[in-house]
Amino acid sequence: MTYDLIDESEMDVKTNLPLSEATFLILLSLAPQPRHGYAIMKEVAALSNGRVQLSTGTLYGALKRFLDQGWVERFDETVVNGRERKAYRLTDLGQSILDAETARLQNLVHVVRQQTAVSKS
Amino acid sequence: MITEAILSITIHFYRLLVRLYPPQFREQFGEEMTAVYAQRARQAAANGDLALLTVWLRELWDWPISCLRAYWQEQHIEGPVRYRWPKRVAVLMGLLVLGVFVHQYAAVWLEYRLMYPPEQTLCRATSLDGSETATLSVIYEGQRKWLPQNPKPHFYITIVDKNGRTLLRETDYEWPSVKSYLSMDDSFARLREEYAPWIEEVTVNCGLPGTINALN
Repeated sequence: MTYDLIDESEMDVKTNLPLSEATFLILLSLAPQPRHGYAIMKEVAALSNGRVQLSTGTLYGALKRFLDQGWVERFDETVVNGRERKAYRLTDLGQSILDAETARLQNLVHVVRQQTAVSKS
Repeated sequence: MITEAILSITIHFYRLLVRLYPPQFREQFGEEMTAVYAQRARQAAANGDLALLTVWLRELWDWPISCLRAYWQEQHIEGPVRYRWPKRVAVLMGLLVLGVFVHQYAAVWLEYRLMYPPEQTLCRATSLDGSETATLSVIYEGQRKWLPQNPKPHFYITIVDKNGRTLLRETDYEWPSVKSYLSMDDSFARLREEYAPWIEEVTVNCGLPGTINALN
């Protein structure tokens, strides 16, 4: 009898899927570069064409959860006037979850296209 | 000028709202949240009062759920962690409230039904000439309607002749006459004492005063 050994981090990724739209968009906004809170809000709004407008409470509730789960990390970012503020960046685990969700959505789109192609023909 | 004042007020108010988050959360994110809100509100205010109002209302609307979620996380309760959970919690809370309501309603209803039959004859009075019999009854208002209410007695009188024929059945009864009936017998005195809190609330409406007066 053989057993498939499942990587623990892979399990962690899979058990967290699917992501909600807000979670996905927040992670996606952090993918290209680290951002501070207000920049995340603006980026999420831009990515969703203004459809998803996060409130401050929702954003920080989500960031707290991501920090606890190790999806993002927090660091001090120096700004122009010398005042420090906090910024957030994706961890490897966060990036893996984002990639896995993206793959899941791609697969879903692929299936939808196949089905609609069949129905058209 | 007005927008600046409103902006300042909303920022101060938001700071107060942030204080209601759990201590650990507030310590970690409180200042940052206020700063982000202030930045966002200033940006909105530049686009006019309506934009500022929209941002403010969105924050107010979201605050209870965010705050509750923060407390949930603070207690390390493994709750639904995705953004769908408020809907589930709303359903659970609704079921809980409904359950409590049904339980309480059933308890009160059963109590009323078991303790007080729907139409309880409390006493019997005989008229002075002995030709008629007056039956004084109490109906509990709570049992006349669907929902149980306070047991506020509603008096009515039934007068029957010797052959058992009903001569009078009045539901709204003149209180002075009722009072005189209650004083005719020891059992009436007991009833008067028992129902003293509600005595003054009995509707004064005499259908056939002559008949009733003849009984006094």
